[in-house]
Amino acid sequence: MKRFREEGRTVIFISHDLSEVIELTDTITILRDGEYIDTVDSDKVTEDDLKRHMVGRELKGHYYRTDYGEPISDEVVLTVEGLTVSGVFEDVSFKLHKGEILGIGGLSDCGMHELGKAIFGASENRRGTVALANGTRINSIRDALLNNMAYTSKDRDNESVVVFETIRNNICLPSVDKLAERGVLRHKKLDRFAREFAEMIQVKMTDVNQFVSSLSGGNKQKVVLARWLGKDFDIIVLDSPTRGIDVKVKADIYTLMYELKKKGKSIIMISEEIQELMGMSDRILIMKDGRINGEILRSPDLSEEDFIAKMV
Amino acid sequence: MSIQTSLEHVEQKKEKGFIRNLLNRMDINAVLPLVGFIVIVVVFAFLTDMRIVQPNSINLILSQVYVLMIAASGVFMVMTIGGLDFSQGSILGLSSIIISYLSFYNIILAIIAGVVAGAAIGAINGFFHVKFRIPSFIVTICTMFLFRGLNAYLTTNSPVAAHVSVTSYNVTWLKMLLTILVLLILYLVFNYTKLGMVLKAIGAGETAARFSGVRTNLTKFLVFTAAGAITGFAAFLNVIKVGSITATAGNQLETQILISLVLGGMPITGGAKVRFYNIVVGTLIFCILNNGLVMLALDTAVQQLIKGIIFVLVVALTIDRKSIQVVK
Repeated sequence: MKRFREEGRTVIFISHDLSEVIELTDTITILRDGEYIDTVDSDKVTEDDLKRHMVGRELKGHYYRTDYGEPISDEVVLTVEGLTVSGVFEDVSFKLHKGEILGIGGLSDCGMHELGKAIFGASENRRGTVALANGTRINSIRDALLNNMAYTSKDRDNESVVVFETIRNNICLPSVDKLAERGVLRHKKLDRFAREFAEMIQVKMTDVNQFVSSLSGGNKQKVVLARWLGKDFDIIVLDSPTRGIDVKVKADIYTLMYELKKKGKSIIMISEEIQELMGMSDRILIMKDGRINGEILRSPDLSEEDFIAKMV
Repeated sequence: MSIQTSLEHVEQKKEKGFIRNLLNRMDINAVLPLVGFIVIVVVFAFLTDMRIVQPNSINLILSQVYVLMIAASGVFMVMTIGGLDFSQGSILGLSSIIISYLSFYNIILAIIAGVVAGAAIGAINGFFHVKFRIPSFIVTICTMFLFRGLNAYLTTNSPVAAHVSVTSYNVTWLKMLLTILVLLILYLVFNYTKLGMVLKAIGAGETAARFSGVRTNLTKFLVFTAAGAITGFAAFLNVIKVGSITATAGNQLETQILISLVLGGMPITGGAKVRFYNIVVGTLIFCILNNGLVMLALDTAVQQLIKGIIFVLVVALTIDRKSIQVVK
């Protein structure tokens, strides 16, 4: 991009990544809800200014959790032992506690994304065990769902949501067994169910019978979360939950995560964004080249260097 | 609406013409078949000087509808999940032969045997498709050839004749009743049970469906088996109409089903936009079109040509371009 500019050409750069935008551009135009808001000089504006324009209200510098020092429960809800998928990750073991937000971080090819799938029972050649507190092994997606586990994939459009289906059917699909009355599905009941959870997270839509394909990335992710809220879960694996999503929806998702934590739900958050891991997790496992390379506890004094040292 | 889709909208309004714009905003899959049905009836009524709407003609058209509609409803489910079934004709042939053989003993037994035979072939289709991940159109073309060979062998010396009593079942009220019964059951299953929702989800996004807990492999297997079984039942209506089965029985049924469903507005790759009435309206349009062209005493080559053109046009208009994936 810089080369293009030096050659006298023009680049229009569209992005959610505010620091990137400020660093690389000369002027910035902000849009919100399909309307033009303002154009500013990049060297005269801060990230907070941009956020304010984008959201329309004051948004603090960080929108993560602001609590520190809260103890993690002793109660173990999930034990992962010696989990291995050849060539991808090796001998991963850890315990997940009740009400804990466990972050897993690393470079994008460190194996953590496949680890997330494996925990949910979606891997084919997995060795090792994933077990609940009562000993139940999780070996397949069905096992996971029967035992109140949930999963949101990094590949949202192919794995988390059926894009060319309605919002309603997407929200109802994992819960279809409990929605059926002796095998029969009533459409009004499905509509109400979907509406309840879509409104709970404030999915921006015209109607539940709208197709998911017409929604923005942030709203698609909200639909994904709505379906799991509808199904109810005790443990959820979130892989890159805020990837490609604007600040407003990001803030909403973080708020939701904190509320779930308070309710005693356990969350595994896999993310490539160090800031996110630092801001939201109680404890973070860093992976490198398929193995766990370190554990960092939540603290206000963490810095990116602590992470990068273990990741690279 | 996100920024992207609103920009798309603006571009559309300016560049493309009035018709394109109109088409993009209408739900073409819903409107086309109904409009098409009315158009076909009106056009042929006019071209045949109202001959086509005489009671005799209507009876004739209806008598061709039953077998096609029942068989199409099974294939409808296969196509909803994004698959194709080219073995339908051979299934009809084999089941018809079995029903004819057994009609000398017990007609109920014969019907059951026909259904089981159809289910068996369907199960073979499903098994190879799911277990070995062979695309369904390849698997079903193979079974088509395999069982067509078997049918030819079984009719080597002479057509297989059913017991003379079967023609006594060839009454309109019975045929209509059976057809309506099958359609009703499938309609309820498709629209009011978990299976229906699951089928559309698999057709629209199989991986995402699997991650939502759907047993995709089992469902796909069952759907192919069911499609075979349903056609096995349709074979009964075929036997009572024709009385004896030749080597070419059921030829082209799979193509006729495909054309009917597409004429009925069904997207050829399945998914969430399928509607049950695609079956009914499509089959009716197909049969009226067929008979109408014959009534016009057109050369058979010209008839084929016209049918081919209409088919291509309808596919082009109804195919869900945005959600095309590999044909399964």
